[in-house]
Amino acid sequence: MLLNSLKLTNFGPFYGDHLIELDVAQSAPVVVVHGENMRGKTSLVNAIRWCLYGRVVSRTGAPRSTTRLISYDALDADKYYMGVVLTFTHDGGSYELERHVQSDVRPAGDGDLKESVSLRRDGQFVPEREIRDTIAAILHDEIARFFLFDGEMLAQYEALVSEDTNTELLRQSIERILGLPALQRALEDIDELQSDANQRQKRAVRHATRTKKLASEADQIDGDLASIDRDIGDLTSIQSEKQQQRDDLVERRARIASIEADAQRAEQLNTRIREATADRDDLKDEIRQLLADAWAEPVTGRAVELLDSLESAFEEEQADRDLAVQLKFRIDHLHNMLDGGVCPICDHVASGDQRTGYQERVAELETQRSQIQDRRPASANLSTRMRELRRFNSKSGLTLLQEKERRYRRATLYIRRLRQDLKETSDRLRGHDSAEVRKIQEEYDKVIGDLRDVEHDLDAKEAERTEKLSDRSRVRQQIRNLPEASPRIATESSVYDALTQAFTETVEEFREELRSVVEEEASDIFSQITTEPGYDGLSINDQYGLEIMDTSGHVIHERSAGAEQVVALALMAALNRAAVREGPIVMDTPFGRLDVSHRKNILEFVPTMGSQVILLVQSGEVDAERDLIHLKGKIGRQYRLTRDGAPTRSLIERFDE
Amino acid sequence: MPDSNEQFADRTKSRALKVLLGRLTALRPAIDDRAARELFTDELATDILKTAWKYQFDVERTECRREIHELVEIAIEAREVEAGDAAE
Repeated sequence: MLLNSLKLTNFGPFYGDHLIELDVAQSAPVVVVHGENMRGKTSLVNAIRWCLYGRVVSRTGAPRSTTRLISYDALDADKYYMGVVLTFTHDGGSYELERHVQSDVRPAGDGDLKESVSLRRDGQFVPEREIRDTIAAILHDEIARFFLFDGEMLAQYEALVSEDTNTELLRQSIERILGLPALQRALEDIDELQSDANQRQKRAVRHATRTKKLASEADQIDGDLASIDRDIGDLTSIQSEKQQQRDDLVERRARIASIEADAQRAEQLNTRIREATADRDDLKDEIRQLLADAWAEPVTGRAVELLDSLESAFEEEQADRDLAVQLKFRIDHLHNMLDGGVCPICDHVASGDQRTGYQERVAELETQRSQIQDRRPASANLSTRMRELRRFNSKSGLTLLQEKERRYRRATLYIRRLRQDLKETSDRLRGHDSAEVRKIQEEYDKVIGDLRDVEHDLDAKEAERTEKLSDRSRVRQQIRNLPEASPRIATESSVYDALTQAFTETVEEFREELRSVVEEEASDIFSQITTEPGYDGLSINDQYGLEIMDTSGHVIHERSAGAEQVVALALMAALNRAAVREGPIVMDTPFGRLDVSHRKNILEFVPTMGSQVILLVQSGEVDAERDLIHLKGKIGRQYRLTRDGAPTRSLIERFDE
Repeated sequence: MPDSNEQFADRTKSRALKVLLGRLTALRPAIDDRAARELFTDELATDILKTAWKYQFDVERTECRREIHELVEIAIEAREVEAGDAAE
């Protein structure tokens, strides 16, 4: 299937008629549609889905109301019509599929809409009752999700590697695209045909008295089996329900973990606010003090000069003090010599002339000492005066004031930011209490316990079923061997038995083989697009989740968001290679978390993904000039989605490379 | 890369068929019922698989079951005819 064109009328943000040509040559199979957020990229994918299947599902899988797909501007202009025309080719035929809805009044819900659909093959109308089956044969709804996908879909693939996540539905979808249900459903059909053959055989032998007991036993076993199947069905429902509860609790627990982090953050923020407020209050006091001293600002220059002279005087006074001490020591020493007549240090005995000389020297020194002491009263209060004057001698009061005011403003801003942060954190915390974590853990433990019980019961029921099946097989064989049994039905029944066994074993073996095929293809693709030389390939698990292997054969457990996306894209591409159908690949915003090197590798790989690849990208993930060069002439067409005046309206514009 | 749905479908179907025929070869000697063993042919299994493949996306199974039943019936009748011919 290759898309040729898509015509939209009043669909999503596309008010009025809009046509987008999509046909491309095999040499340039890529169509690139550029559009910022809210310009209608996803609406284009939805238009294709809606036209093909008459419904659009949300990213959570819930069906979306058709009414909500209609352009708001159309509704406001009282135009209650929405239509999509999709033209495509498939296996040599040209198709035109048209779907539209309309209403006479402003539609309040889908009930107000009248829907019409028509399909033409090579210009001839296909009967309406056959349209659905015809589309299903071309690209079935169940596998379309692997061709029309978005970034959210990639996230679902990423979840496949997580054992905690319930990915059963996705696993089934993957097996569907790979063709496994063909065998599984055939097995169910054969089982049903076998039951039918045995019913006929029972009817054939029932009239014989001696076979009544066997027929009755067969009925009993069939009844038991029906009852066991019902029990298994009920238990499976409970299991699904419990698994869902477990997944919800895991999600809630993850949310709670972030709440715990928020609670800690709030506590830290409160402490920081208290500290910052105290610092700011100190600054406020200092500013107040500076303002009180502001009168001194005009005399600062004079004060500094005075302080300089006082400091010189102080230094001189210090020198005098030292000298006075030395003089006193020398005077005392001379007095000792004069009093004792002998030097107290060296025991020298002074002569009469020497004593006279000492007395004269003492008089001289006393005079010097007296002069120094006379100067001291003038410098006695120097320290006090200097201390006062130093208040003017660091920075000028104005400079200090300005600096402190700046710091005060910064502190105020910082506190405001902290408070804002605290408010946002507190808003997130509102409605949660600390006991919630414990409560969730208790609930989780209980659900896990319940699940274990259900799985135990299921195992027991499965064992019981196996035993009953064996009994049934034995009784059927006995009935088949009765002389009254129809040999033809007996042969038919034996063939179904053999087919059942063959198909049962084939399903398991085929599933394993498909996993190997997907693993091989995904590994091949992954090694083409990864930029990490240490990665050797991918290994697949039972859920079709893929693990990255390094060159030593070890699993890489820590994967970046970008690596997750590369793995998911590799799986997606591998599934497309191994699929039972080929279709156009439409990728909506697939490069969100990729670095430049990975984006380059993937863009180089994209043209090999299929005969037609439609990329819907926004500037945040793909830069037209920097990145699209990697598609090297592989772009068949390029479009840009732009605003059409109003925020609810978009236009589709074609432009060349 | 295959260039048509037919090739896509055929490639996967061939894989499944290869597995199924492999199982048939392994299981056939263990079938006690001679008639069933003789009917348990590659041709019958191939036809049944093709039918199953055709109806793989159908939720309503009546038509698929009818066709499979018919294939088994035809095979049994053909064997009966052959046995009759041989007896004559």
